[in-house]
Amino acid sequence: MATPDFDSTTTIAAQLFDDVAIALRTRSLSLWFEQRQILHAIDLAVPAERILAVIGPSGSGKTSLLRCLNRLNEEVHGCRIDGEVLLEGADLLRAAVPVHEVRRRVGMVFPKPDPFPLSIYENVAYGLRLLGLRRAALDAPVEDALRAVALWDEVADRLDAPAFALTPGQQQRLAIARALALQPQVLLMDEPAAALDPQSSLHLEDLLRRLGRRCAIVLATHNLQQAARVADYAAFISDGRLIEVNDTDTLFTNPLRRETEDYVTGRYG
Amino acid sequence: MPTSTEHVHLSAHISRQFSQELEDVRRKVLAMGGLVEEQLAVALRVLTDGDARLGVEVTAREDRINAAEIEIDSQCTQILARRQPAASDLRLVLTVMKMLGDIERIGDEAKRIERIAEGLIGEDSHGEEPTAALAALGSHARDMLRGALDAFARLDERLALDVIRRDRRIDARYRELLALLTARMRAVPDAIPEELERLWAARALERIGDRCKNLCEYVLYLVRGKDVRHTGLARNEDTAGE
Ligand SMILES: Nc1ncnc2c1ncn2[C@@H]1O[C@H](COP(=O)(O)OP(=O)(O)O)[C@@H](O)[C@H]1O
Ligand SMILES: [Mg+2]
Repeated sequence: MATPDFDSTTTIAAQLFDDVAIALRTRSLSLWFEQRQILHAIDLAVPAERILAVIGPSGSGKTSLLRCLNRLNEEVHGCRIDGEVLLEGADLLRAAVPVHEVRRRVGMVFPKPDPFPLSIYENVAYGLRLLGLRRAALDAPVEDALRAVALWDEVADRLDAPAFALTPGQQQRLAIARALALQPQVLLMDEPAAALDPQSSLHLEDLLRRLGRRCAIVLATHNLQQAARVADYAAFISDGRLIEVNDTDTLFTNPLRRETEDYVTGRYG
Repeated sequence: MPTSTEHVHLSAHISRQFSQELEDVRRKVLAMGGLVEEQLAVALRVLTDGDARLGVEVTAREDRINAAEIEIDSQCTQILARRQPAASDLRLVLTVMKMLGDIERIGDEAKRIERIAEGLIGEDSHGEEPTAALAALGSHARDMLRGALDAFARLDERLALDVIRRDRRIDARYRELLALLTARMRAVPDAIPEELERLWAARALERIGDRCKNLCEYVLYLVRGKDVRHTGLARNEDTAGE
């Protein structure tokens, strides 16, 4: 294991979260795949009803971190997790919270749109059905979720059409609607615009800004401009270590840590 | 007090082209500042030596200063649009864009002084005292300008604070000169037009001091990442050092 050539403690701007509620927090979260340590004792607070960007170069551990927050990593062979992920005081990693309940409360959107081979309607209704809702009770939450992602007007007249018929931008909004239908407290988004053209990306960013008041959003991205445009707060991770957490304006104009400065100005290794 | 190198890094970017673009802008601002310094130096020499021939280049130099302002400003706009700079790079570009306006206006004030100085040539045989006072005020203004440009070139926080402190001294000297000129107007009403001209020159020098102070506040912003204008921050630290 190579030792980092920088101060590996986390610098959090003073009074950063004084006025916001915290939706979820990690305590000394570490992750190993086989012998290799991927995340190093991460203490990260995710503010409620705000957008937190997780930025860092490729391979720094953004995806791995997000996957810990809703227990996706534990499906990976050879994975070991240490520390806590606290949601309303309960440790999601250990408490007797069933994994489907964790995934309902902490939703996830992946880099590539991943619609199920079902209709538009059934894609959104999928999780609700798993919760045991009857058809009659589905219409309202499905419409609400589709409206929240600004898809309703585009698909209201063809809800039974296959989701694959949608454009990539629409498919990604559908994936967000699917997560939102379950009314999660936290929505994890891993490079959600990775597969989108610039225009659809901008639409998606607008959408994120609007959703940011509905639940906590953690946006992992290596697109710095996107993070700067969308996020309220930003966390910089490098080599699996959380380096700095700051408000977005400060992180991009006057970061506290030299490592952050080098990364956001394009001087990174 | 933190040293300037803590917050601003001029080491190379992954894109060498980008490093060069920023360095180019920095160099051009200093060159433009050099032209304005010359403009002021010439104006002051015309004032003290009474030789109008010294001023022949003033208009041509003003054209070069204006052209530099436009060129650098457009380079900065391009960097903002194409590179979307962050952190100290962003602060450098923003600082330069603000500095340009003040540097250009210092040039205007210098030209105004030169024109006034030309007008005063051969006017009065008893103007030694106010001329000497104007020259002293002018040399203060020149020092401040030099200091402001050096502070920017070296990202020198202490020098910037020092120049800001000097602005209060220039204000005091300006008021003294004002008293001298009013006394002379009262004593020799015929000389009022002439003294008024000197008053405009003094006023222009005092404004140059103000603009140098602005330049230094931008440098502090660049170095510290905090806007110190209107906060009294610069002032407080400055009295603490006295
Ligand atoms: N399933 C896995 N098994 C082993 N190593 C993995 C696995 N997933 C990711 N990694 C490693 O973990 C590190 C962090 O990767 P990742 O979290 O995908 O980073 P990022 O999302 O910031 O690009 C990388 O070195 C990657 O190779
Ligand atoms: Mg990733």
